[in-house]
Amino acid sequence: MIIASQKPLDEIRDTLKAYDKVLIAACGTCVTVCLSGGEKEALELKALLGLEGDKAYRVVTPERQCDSEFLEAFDEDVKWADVVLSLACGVGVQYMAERYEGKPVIPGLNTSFMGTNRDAGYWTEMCQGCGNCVLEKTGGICPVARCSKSHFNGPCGGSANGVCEVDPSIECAWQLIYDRLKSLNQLDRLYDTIPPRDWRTSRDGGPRKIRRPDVAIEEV
Amino acid sequence: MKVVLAGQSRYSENLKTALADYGFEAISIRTASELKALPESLPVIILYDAKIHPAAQDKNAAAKAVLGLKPQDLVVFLMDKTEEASPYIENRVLDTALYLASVKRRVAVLLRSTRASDTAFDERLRQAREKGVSFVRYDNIAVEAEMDRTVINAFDGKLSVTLETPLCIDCSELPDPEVEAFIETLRVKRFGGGCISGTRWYLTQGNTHKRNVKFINTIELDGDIKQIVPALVDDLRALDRPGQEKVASVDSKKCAFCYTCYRVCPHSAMKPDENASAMMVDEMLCAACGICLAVCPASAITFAGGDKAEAKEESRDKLKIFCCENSAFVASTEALAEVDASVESITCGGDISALKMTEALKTYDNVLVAVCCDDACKHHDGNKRLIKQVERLKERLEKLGYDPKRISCVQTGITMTNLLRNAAEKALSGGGEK
Repeated sequence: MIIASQKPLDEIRDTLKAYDKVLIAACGTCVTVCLSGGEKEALELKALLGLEGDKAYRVVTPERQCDSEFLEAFDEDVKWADVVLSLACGVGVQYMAERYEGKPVIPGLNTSFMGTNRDAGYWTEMCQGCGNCVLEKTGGICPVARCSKSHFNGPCGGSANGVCEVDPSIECAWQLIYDRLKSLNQLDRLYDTIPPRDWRTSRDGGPRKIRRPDVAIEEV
Repeated sequence: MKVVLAGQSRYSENLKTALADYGFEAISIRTASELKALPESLPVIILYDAKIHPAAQDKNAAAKAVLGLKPQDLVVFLMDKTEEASPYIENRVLDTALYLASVKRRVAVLLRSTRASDTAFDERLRQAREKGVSFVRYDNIAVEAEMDRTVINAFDGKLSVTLETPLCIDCSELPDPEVEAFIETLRVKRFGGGCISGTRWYLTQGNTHKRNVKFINTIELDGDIKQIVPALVDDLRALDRPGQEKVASVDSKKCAFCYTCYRVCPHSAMKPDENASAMMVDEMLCAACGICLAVCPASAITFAGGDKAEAKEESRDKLKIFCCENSAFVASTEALAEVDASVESITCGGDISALKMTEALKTYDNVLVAVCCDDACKHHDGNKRLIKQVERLKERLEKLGYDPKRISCVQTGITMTNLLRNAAEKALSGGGEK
C-alpha cells in the first residue's frame, strides 16, 4: 500500500492563498487506510483552514483519484472550484491535473513509500518497486528497501546489535535476513554472492510502463 | 445457555458442575485452536491457575528457600518488576515476608507503589513493618544476578539504594503460553502490556474489557470456586439481554476496511464482515465509547439509536467544555456552576475528534476537554487518546498562526471539583495549558 503523510498546514495554507474556492479531494483507498488523506482528514482540514473564514471549501471523496471512472462524478465540483487540493498520493494528484485541464491541482500530502501497517498509526517501508524482485534469495526481506544502503551482500560494517548505523531505530536488514534464513535452515544461501544487477528495471531506466497485450488489445 | 470453559485448572470440573446447577452447559476446551472452532458469540470463561515463585506464595516453601542462608543474609522480595502486582500477590508476599521476619530473618520488599487495595492490606503492611520488614519503594530498578548473589540498585527519583542478597525472589506471575494463546485468540485488551482483568475500579474481579470474556485467576479464590458463581451467573445471564440502545454502526459502503477501528476498539467490538468487505459492530460488545468514530479515516462510523440530536451551536459563551460522563461531567454540576461556559457531556475523551474541537472553535473562543485521570478510563485509553489529539491539534493551530492555548485538556475525577474549576477558569482567560 502507498503510505503518505500530510504536508505542514502552513505550507498548504500558503499554496492556497491566491484562490477563493477550494475543492478538497480526499481519496478513498491507500491514503484513507494510512490515515493521511481520507474523508476524515479532508473534513478536519476544511474545519482548520476554514477558521480564517475567507474562502469557500467543498470536500469530495472519490474511491480512487488514479482511475478516471471514479472522477467523473466529481466533474461539477471541480468546475466550481478555483483550485483542487488533492489529498491523494502523487499518482492521484497528477492524474487529476491531467484530467482537469486549466485547473490547478495542489498536493496536500507528501507521498512517502510502499509499506505496511505494523500497528494502529505505525507504518514501515517494505518495497521500492525496483522491478526485479530478489526476495526469494533473501528470505523474504528486501535488501533494496530495508537496507539503508541497499546492499545486495551484507551486512556491512555499520551493523551492530541488529541495528543500522544510519539510525538505531532502523533494524539491520541483513541481520533480519540472516535470522530469517537461519530459521528456514537456508543459511547456505549466504555463500552465494548476488552479482551487481541491471538497475534499468528500476527508475534508472526512466519512467516505466507495463502493458498486458491480452487485455490492452490495441496499443495506445 | 452454552458457555465455553477454557484452560486447564484444578477447579474446572467444580465450576462446570456449579454452572450446570444454574442451567448452563459448559463446553470444556484445552487449546486455542479448539476455541477458534467455536462460534464467536459464545461467552468464554478462562480459568487460570496463575503461578508465582513458590517462596513468594507459601510459608513452607519460603522456610525451605532460606535454609542454609546466614542469619545476617538479606532476603529480597521483588514486586512489580515487569507489571503491577495483583492484590493477591501483594497479600501473599506480605504474609510470607511477615513470616520470615517473625523467624528473625532480614527481609526487604521492593515495590513500585504502596497503594492500599483494601484496609486489611494497610493493616498487614503495618504489622510487617513492626516485625522488621523493610519496604523500599522504587521508580527504576537494576537487577544483576551473579553466581551466588544478586545486586539490586533501586532508585525512587531522589535516592538510590544498593542491596546485595543471596536470595532475590521475583514475585512476578510466571507466564503461561496457553493462557496467552487464549487471550490473543479472543483479542482481550491489556493494561500497559500487563494485566487484563479486575485491577481497575470499573472491572470487578474476573471481568475483562470484553463483555463475554471472563478471566478468572484461581489463585485469588482462596480455594473456593463457589464464591464467584452467583456473580458469574448474573453476568452470563445479562449477556442474553439486549445491551444499550446506543451502539456504533459502520456504513459498509464508506468503510475502507483499514482495520484501524478493529485495532483500537478497547472492547474488541469490531469484527470483519467478509461478505461486505467492511467492518461490522458486535452490538453486544460495543460500549458506545466513540473511539472508533473519532479514529475512522473514512468517516464511516456513526452512533445508531439513542444518539442525541445535534443542537445548533448558537451560544454566546466564550468557553466550550466537553466533559467525560464518567468523571468530569459528574463533577461539573458543582465545579462549573458559576463558570460562564457551555458544558457538554461526552461518553469518553476518545470520542472527541480534532474535527469536533475545531468546529467548536468556530463558535467559542476557547475549548476545554475534561477527561479521566491516568488508569481510570473506563474505555482503556480514551483519556490518553484525547491528550494526544489535543497535542496534535495545538501544533496544527500554531502552524496556522492561532494561539494553541485556545484548546486545552484536564484530567480529573468525580470529586476533583477544584481542579476542574481552575482548569475552566484558566481556559476562560485563554490560558489553558495542557
